[in-house]
Amino acid sequence: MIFDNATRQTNQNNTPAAYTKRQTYRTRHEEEASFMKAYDHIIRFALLITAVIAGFFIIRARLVPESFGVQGSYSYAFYRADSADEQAALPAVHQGSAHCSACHAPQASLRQTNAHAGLECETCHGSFKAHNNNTKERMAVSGSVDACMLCHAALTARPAQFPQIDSFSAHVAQQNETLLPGMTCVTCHDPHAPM
Amino acid sequence: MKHDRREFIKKAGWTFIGSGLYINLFSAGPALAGSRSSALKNLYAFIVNTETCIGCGKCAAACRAENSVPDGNYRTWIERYTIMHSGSVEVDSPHGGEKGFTPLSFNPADIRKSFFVPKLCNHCKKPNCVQVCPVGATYVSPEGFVLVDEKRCVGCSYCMQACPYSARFMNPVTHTADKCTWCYHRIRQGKTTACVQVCPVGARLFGRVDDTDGPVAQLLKAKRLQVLKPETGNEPMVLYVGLDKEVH
Ligand code: HEC
Ligand code: HEC
Ligand code: HEC
Ligand code: HEC
Repeated sequence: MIFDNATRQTNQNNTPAAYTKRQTYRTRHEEEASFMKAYDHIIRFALLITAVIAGFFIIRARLVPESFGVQGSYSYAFYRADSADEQAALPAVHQGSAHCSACHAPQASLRQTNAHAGLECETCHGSFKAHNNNTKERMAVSGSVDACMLCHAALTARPAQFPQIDSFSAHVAQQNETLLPGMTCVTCHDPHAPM
Repeated sequence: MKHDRREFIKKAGWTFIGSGLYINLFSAGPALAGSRSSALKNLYAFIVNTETCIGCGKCAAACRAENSVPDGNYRTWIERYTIMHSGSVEVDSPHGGEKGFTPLSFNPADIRKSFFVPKLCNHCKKPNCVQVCPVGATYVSPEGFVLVDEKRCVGCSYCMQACPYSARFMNPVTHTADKCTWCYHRIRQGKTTACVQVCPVGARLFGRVDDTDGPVAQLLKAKRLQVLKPETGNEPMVLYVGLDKEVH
């Protein structure tokens, strides 16, 4: 109806004369049109609201990511559920000693019954990462004094029962040995079976 | 009754808002919540034993490698508490303890005791950090892990301020909030956390609370445990053996 009227108005050049004429001379069709005209604003308003509501849901659907919502608790679990699965799919970097034993049986077996039995290979050698068949990336091997002292240097904060040594030179002297150049802890201790 | 346009628009407006709310709260809610919704459980606990920690920093180093933590930031770190006879408390954590510790410079006669306290995200039952997030980017997973959704986070750092344990930092690479995840990926893959795995003295333990044969449940039975800053009401799930009142 609205469009009907609008077309007509433009067709009639919408002069004041034409307007008056339409007001005074009414066909049945125009009678009906004027009835509709009385509700014109409501229809327009309804259309507007429908558009706004539709717009709200369209925009909302685009902004709210998939799987986002309340997952049991408003306060603590209002999130994108896929996020947890995405994080769970991250690759594990550290592989554990069992993984190393397959290729390094000697070290693994040495380690089994001695003071370092509780240590993981990766604790000393760093994470497995890309160290693979024929070692694309080599594992860190540090037989340096500092590498052992990281754990065994005497510190007040360390539990008293943990084996600690005051200094390399003092320790060597204690064993009635002479400190030779190039000597490190692994000269006397096998890191995989220190005692 | 007066019918004017103003009155009509007013009523229509209220009807609109009302119906919008109705649709939002009741009809769209369950559809958005998805099928994976579940009640929060807090199935896991992390136990730190300060009586056995030797402060070697292997845990912090392993964490960095496992989770690509940028240099200068720490998801887990070690603090050394030194309590003097005078009652004063000294705390140091050079490089987060990642490279180990050097001997104390205090006169040994002045020291009452000294010990290491490894720290990490407490994965609280009632985490402040989660409540304050304005975009739903941080949450408690169905297993009780407090996680960050990197894709949702807008980097407002409100959560960093809300955390009483300073466990969160702004990741300089992704520019989103970052923190310990209890190695969520490793746990879901059936492994233990990287820090627990590399700890040479078993000062860190992680496991299910309801697994009665597991190491965590054993310690829960055998030891008296404490949490950090219980007064904040966050209800941490990282439990400490041998915590002194001086430790915050
Ligand atoms: C798929 C087999 C395989 C696995 C699994 C494996 N390695 Fe190796 N690794 C090798 C091979 C082969 C070499 C010898 C490479 C060479 O000599 O160039 C090697 C060498 C090493 C070296 C000496 C590197 C050097 O530069 O001298 C260390 C240390 C090492 N591996 C540690 C580990 C640890 C720790 C693990 C477990 C986390 C592990 N490896 C798992 C195959 C493996
Ligand atoms: C206490 C720390 C420590 C632990 C734990 C440890 N290693 Fe080593 N590993 C070393 C050091 C130090 C060297 C270098 C020895 C040297 O320079 O002579 C080394 C050397 C190696 C090498 C090179 C070959 C050799 O024997 O010199 C391999 C392979 C190796 N380790 C494998 C392993 C595996 C597998 C495990 C786990 C079962 C393991 N390591 C656990 C410290 C450790
Ligand atoms: C990651 C920490 C760590 C590193 C690094 C480390 N150790 Fe150990 N070491 C230990 C632990 C843990 C024990 C067992 C202590 C115990 O039984 O209470 C131990 C025990 C020992 C013992 C036996 C002490 C005793 O009284 O039983 C010796 C010897 C030893 N280590 C030597 C070394 C040497 C040599 C190195 C360097 C290659 C080294 N350690 C590197 C953690 C480490
Ligand atoms: C000259 C050889 C030699 C060197 C080098 C050496 N040690 Fe020892 N170490 C020994 C001997 C021998 C013992 C056994 C002492 C005993 O049985 O009482 C020992 C014992 C130990 C113990 C146990 C001590 C205790 O009181 O429980 C530790 C820990 C240790 N060494 C660590 C190291 C570290 C770390 C280094 C390097 C900084 C190192 N050792 C270098 C020969 C050596």
